[in-house]
Parts: sequence; structure tokens; C-alpha cells
Amino acid sequence: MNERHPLRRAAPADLEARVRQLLAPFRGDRTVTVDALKVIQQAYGYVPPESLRVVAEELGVSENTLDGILHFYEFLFPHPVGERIIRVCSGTVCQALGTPAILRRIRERLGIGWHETTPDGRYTLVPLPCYNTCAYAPMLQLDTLTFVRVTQEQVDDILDGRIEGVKGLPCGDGMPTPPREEVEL
Amino acid sequence: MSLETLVAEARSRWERKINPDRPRIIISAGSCGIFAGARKVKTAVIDALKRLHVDASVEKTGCVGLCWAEPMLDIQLPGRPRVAYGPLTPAEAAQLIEDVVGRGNPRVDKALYVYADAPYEGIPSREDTDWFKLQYRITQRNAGIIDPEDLDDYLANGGYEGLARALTMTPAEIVDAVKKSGLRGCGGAAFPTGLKWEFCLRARGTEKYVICNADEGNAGTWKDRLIMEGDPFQLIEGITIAAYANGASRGFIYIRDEYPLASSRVRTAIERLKARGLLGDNILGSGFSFELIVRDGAGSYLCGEEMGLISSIEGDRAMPRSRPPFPATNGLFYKPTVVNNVETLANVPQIIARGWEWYAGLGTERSKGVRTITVSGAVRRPGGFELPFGIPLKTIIYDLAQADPADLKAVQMGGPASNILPADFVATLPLGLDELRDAGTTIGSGGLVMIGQKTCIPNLVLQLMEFLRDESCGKCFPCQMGTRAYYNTLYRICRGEGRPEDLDFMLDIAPAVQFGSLCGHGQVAHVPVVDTITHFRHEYEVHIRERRCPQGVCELSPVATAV
Repeated sequence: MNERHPLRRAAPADLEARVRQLLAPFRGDRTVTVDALKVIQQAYGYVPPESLRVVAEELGVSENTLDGILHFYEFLFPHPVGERIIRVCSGTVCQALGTPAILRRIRERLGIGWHETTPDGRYTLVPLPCYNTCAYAPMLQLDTLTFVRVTQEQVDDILDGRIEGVKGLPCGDGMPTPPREEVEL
Repeated sequence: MSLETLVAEARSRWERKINPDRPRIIISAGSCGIFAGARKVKTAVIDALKRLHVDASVEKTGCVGLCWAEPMLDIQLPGRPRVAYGPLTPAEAAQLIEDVVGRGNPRVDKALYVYADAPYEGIPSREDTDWFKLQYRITQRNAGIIDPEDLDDYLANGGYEGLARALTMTPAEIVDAVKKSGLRGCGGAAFPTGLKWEFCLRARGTEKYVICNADEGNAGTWKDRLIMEGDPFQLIEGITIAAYANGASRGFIYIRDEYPLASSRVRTAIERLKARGLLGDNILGSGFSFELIVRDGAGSYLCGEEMGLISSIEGDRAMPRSRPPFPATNGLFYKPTVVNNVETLANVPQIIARGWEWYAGLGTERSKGVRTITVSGAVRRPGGFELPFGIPLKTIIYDLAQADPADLKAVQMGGPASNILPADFVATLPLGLDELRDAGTTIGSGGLVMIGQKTCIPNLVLQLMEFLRDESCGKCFPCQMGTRAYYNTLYRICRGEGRPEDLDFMLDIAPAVQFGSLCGHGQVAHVPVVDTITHFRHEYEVHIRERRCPQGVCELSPVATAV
């Protein structure tokens, strides 16, 4: 499956050494699998399948377990993703207040649906698990920028950078919790 | 340092803060506020103060629950009460500062309420406004008032009285008090908290754990976020009391990745508490030590299920285990564990400090206490309200959140896999745990989602089912196959390819999904489908028979490809 992915790249030569270095703080602790995979994703943009063997050795869990975890959590990417990640809220309130129309506009413009990447590797569309700021539905995130009360008409302006988003409250993306200075007022 | 000294110092700092000698501007900084533009408002405020050459303190607070009024800010002039204003654009905020701080004009037109017992310049007292007069704020009592990163603010407002009292009691006495208070889990299942603690306390073993479930994944519910962003100290005090009562020396708080601000504030609070000896080794010289560890999620809905959450902390996929044995005896690392929701634990300090009799006196005979209800969707004034049980849902929907009776079609009660009921029926029900159970529904996690006339019900259920299908962990097949069967059938209906037998098919498989599933996810996955077929059958029938969508949503929407 992975080998046929359109954005599939060969694993970098220094992958093993780098992953071992990244995992130094986690060595031997089998309860931090998710955090360990997040750190790898932060370095590579996704979790290269070749890294799982190394993670398995470092943490003392099986490669199969890690593969299961990697495919289980929404914020961990088992495949390379586009340069920019579009997340649209899939929560009930956003669905009721306009997510279907936003998705339609994204499909018209970029030709992608959930979990798909544009052929040029520019954009990947994934669902945004509900942020529970439902008073500001529907919600869209472009990388680390958040847009609220988004209408179908605003989609193009957002993608072309004509609307300013709110910085510093990005979800997941495999990143560890952003530092306090970035999320605070 | 003793608690008395800490509190005395905190009180004198708080007194100076609320009786300032220079203007105070307090910006509401919850996630909602920041998304609505609080950062730009803050910049505008600081610029305006510079233009006026006024020395003022610009502070922040958590969200008070009036999501519709964001961005909000409070202004307090020396010798005057604190007044709340909102909603404000950055330009309006700058003008407001010039008028209020510069010219002494109270700007009644933009004012919401005043923090005083009596009206001020015609601005109503906070407790007299429609949004607050029905509320009884316990977990939210400090939210929107104190700085969520300042421990002194919390200590000056009754903080750690609960823990101080708890440390003079035996664990069994605390469990007994919580039991008698009638406190029930606020995460959805409404299991009596004291009973859960009793099971854990009685369980054999010296290694026990307390877990705070802050994976608030239910769309439309943000009560836990309000607590963590507005007053994280009260939550941590509650967790510490729970640890003491259950004999746990280590605890976890599992915060979902979608709450970066809440996570940051809880982490800051933990640091501040450790620095003052209120968390960590030998708390308040009592000999009791407790270590609290923050764990971040990674976007899985099932992490909110207690067994799934335990699996996730152990470093595995968030897959539930079959019960019994329950976590109280075989939880984290198969040791006795108490798993409680954020709001449940945040209620505990006040119950211990004020006594169980006080809490048991709130609410109704059958549902004791209070519950934070968050209302969103097709309403004019979405927000979060902490209300005693017994209040009619009608009041919450039409008076507090101001839904338009002509537009409101249905209400979803607490989470994506919960009842979708006609608005007229919901308006006849009271807020209560057993009262709602009698009516065949539940308040769940406390999120009410209002669904307007423009929403296509089958399409909404399709999207819900896509979510539930994707989040099914796949461990037990009734949930895995059931959510998939529902999704595929709904997908066809919404594409205009529905068959007459589809509705009966979906009703037929409901019991198999309900009774065959291992955890709460699958056990309730059928609920939105069955409810909407019962109450909104005509919408499905129009899709199936006439192959059209009355709301115009389905033909227009790009329905995701079936997998």
C-alpha cells in the first residue's frame, strides 16, 4: 500500500541514526509510543514505515503494534502528505452549519476529498476532529492557521492567502504541544 | 509554607488587584475568544492606551461562557466596578478604551454587565442578567474572573480549602462525603462518583492510579475546555483530592491534542502548584505525595472511552477492553484506577470544602447538583451555562441560547452518537439525569446541538456515521460492521439511490449493533439513525421515493467515496 502511494519517496540514508537520536528521551518506555511517533512525524512530515523497526527496538515494543498505532491515530500520517494540510471540522455543528458546502468547493477547486492529496503534492485534505469551539462553526485549518465561521465563498480566499487566520492554536499535525508563548493570548 | 500563609499573601495580592490604582483591562482569552480575534483586540487596546498615555494593566482571563459575545473584555477604572463589554472588533475596542479610560464615559451601549451587587450607570449586575441569574456556578465559578495562570488568584478565591479539609479526613470519609453528595459522572454515563471511588478504595493493591479524562471528543460539548482554560487549578485540586481518597500516588490527565490552550494552561498550573508545595512530594506537609502527568492525545475519539483512554496511556491503540473487570480493580497497567471526567473532578473541591449537604441540596430530588450545558448550532447566542438540575430545557434553548422557534427543527443531546429529537419534544423536558432517562434520552456530556430547518437530517446522520465509522476501533465486529453498514446505506440514500427497504434494514440491525458491541461507542452508534427514522421519516422517504433533497444539501454536497 505504502509503496504505491503517489508521494512515496525513498527513505533517507541517515534515517536510522536520526530516529535513534530523536528517540533518546523515550528509550525503553513503552507507554510513550504515540509521543515517539509524533516526534518522528515532526522531523519527516510523516512517519516513514522504515522508521518503525528502529522505534520498535528503542521502545521495546513490536513493529506490528507500532504499525497499528500509526494507522489508528488521526494525527499520525503513515504516508507522505502534501505541502499544505487543509483540515475541515467534521463535528456535528460544523456539519450542520456548512461543512458539506466547504468540502464541495474544495473538491471543485482541488479535486480532492477526505484523506486525499492533490497530484502535484500541494494539498492534503483531512478531517479536523472537533475543536469544540462550536460557537464559531464551521471551522477550517490551513497548516497552523485557523479560520472560523468559514463560508463556501471564503474557501478560495483562504487558500490564496487573502484572509488572515488565527495563529498558534494548531491541532496535532504530529507536533508536540506548542510552547506556551504560541498558544497564549 | 503553610496554606494559611499562602492564602493570606494571595488574598492581599488579590485585594490590590481588584482595588487597582490604575485602569485594568481584562481580555477574555479562551480558545473561542482567541479564534474570534482576541489577539487583535489586545493589540488595539495596547495601542489605544499608548495614544492616551495611560498606564494600565492589561490582563487575561478564561472564558465566561458567553461565546457569542467574543471577543470580550472587562474594564475596571480605579474606584469603579469591573464592567464587561462585547462583542468587539479591534476598532471598536480601541474606541471603547478611548471613551471609557480616556473620557470616563461608561459606554452603556456596548456593556454587558457589571461585577457588582447593584447596577452601575444603568449597566445590570452580572447576577441579574438573563445569562447568569439562572446559573449556579461551581466548576465555572472562577472562570472569566481570575487569571488562569495565576495561582494567587485561585488561592484568594477559596482555592485549596477543599484539599486542606480533605487532608484532615480519612479516605473513607471523603468517599462517603462524595457518595452522599449525589455527585454523578459528568462525562456521559452519569455513574455515581462516590461508588466508583469506593470500588477503587476497596480494591486490593498498593499501586493505584487516578486518571482525569480530558479527551472531550463529543462535538458540541466544551464544558471541560472552559474549566481547563478558565480555572485549571480547581481541576487539579479535585484530582489531588481524588488521589488522596483512593490511595493513588500517581495520576494522569489525558488532554486531547485539539486543546493546545487547555493543555498549556494545565501544564502551567502544575508547575505553579509544584513550586508552592501544593503538588508533588509531601503536599502541605501532610506526608501525602502525588505526581500528576499530562498526556496528549493524537486525534482519536475513542480515547475518551475510559478503557480506550487507559490503553492509550499504556502506549497502545485506544481499544476498549471487555468489562468486567472494571478499571476500579483492573485499570491502568491492570492496577486499580479511578477514571473521572474533568467536570466531575472539578466539582470535588467545593463539595469537600462546603460539605456534601450543600451539594446534595442543589438540583432535584433525583438528580443532585449542577451541570454545565453548552449550546451551539442554530442559535443566536451559543454559550456554556452551569445550571442546577431541574431547569426546563425550553428555558436553556429559547431564553439562554435564544434559538428561533420557527427555525429550530431538532436537537441532538450530548455527542455525535446520541439522540436526535424533535425540538418540540425536547422543549417539554426538564434538565435532569433520571428525568431525561425516563423520557428515553440522556443529557450525555452536556452538549446540546440545535439543528435548524436548513439542515438535511439524512445527510447530517450520514456525516455523523462517517465519523463514527472512522473512529470505530475495529476490535469488535458489531460496531465495525454496523457503523459501516449504516454509512453505506445512508450514503446511497443521500445520493438518491435509496431503496424502499433501507429504512427497515437500518432499524433491523440496530439491536445487533447495540447489544453486540464491546464499549459505549458501538452500543449507541445506532441511536441517531433510529431516532431520525422515527421522528424524521418523511425526510428519508423524500430522498428514497422522490430522489430529491428538500433542503438542497444532498445533491449539492460532494458525498465522500464509500470505502
